Amino acid sequence: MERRPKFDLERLVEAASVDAFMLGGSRCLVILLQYLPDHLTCRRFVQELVALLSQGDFCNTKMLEDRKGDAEDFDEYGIEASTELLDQYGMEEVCWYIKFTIRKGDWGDEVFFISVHPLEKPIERVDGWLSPKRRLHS
Amino acid sequence: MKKRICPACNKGSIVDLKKPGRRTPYRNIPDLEIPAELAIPTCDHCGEEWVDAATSARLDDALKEAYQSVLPAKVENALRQLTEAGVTQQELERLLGLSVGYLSKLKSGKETSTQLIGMLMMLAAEPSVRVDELRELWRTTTSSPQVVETKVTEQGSSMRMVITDVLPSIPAKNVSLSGHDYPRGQRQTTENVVEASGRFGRRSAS
Repeated sequence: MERRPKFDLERLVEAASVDAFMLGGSRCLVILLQYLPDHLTCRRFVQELVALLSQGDFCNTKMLEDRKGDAEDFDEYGIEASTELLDQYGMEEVCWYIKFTIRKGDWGDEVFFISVHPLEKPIERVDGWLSPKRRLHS
Repeated sequence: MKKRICPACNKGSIVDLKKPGRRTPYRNIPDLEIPAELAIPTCDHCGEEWVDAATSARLDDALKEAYQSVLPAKVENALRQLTEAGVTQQELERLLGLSVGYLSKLKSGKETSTQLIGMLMMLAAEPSVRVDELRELWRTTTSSPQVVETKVTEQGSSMRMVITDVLPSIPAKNVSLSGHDYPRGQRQTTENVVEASGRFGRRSAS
């Protein structure tokens, strides 16, 4: 059966391109700040990484239970970053894990929550398996 | 109005939280304290932070200020340790190729150089050893061991002798040398090299 993401990837890419997202989760910022100097650089990196995502990078829709017993969903992606992007940010981690969800905000607006960190274990994507990979010093 | 539920735990709500004791990596400092009065959207259940563009900008501004105040303290601490070890600021400026008075500007925060501060901290961690090493490293004459080939004609073999006098910090007796023709089981040192060469008579440097 064909795997399909719950959320429209194009909407995520668009939200990221205009910097309209919340970044966090899984100690994402603490991890990113070990590679990048400050928060705004982290956001720029995430924006550029998300811009590279394609449907083939989709892995799975993850379900979390909320306090009312309803399920909330995250779409999970895995991506091998381009050499240009890695060079630009001086990154050694080649493969990245991206998880995102869209929730209704306080004013009925949609809020994009994105969590990003280096891939920690192999994941199966639409385009095949992706494993953690480091490159030698850039 | 719908409340914003934390997507990390699906249990708590994301609220603007101000509190002391929060720390974060920032540039080369792994644990810079985030100012207590700065509000960060944080889950009231799991403590996960979710940062938007505006909060990121505020965080970076506040952290930059905190960072700038930490650096002079690092310089002052390193210079104090170096001074206590007998290294003057003037000599440090000379060894590090700095203009006179630059370290004072660094200490007062008028100048900033994280690379230089890193170097000062490294020197201050073990001043007597590392400053001596730096003095030696700036020399233009060789400070590596000189190797002299020694022919031992009586035995029909040759050995290499290392002259260690140019390394005063390494006691000659502890230097193990390449070569052979020593009494079985005895460690090869300058003393027994000299002894061996005396025993074998002629020694010629090539």
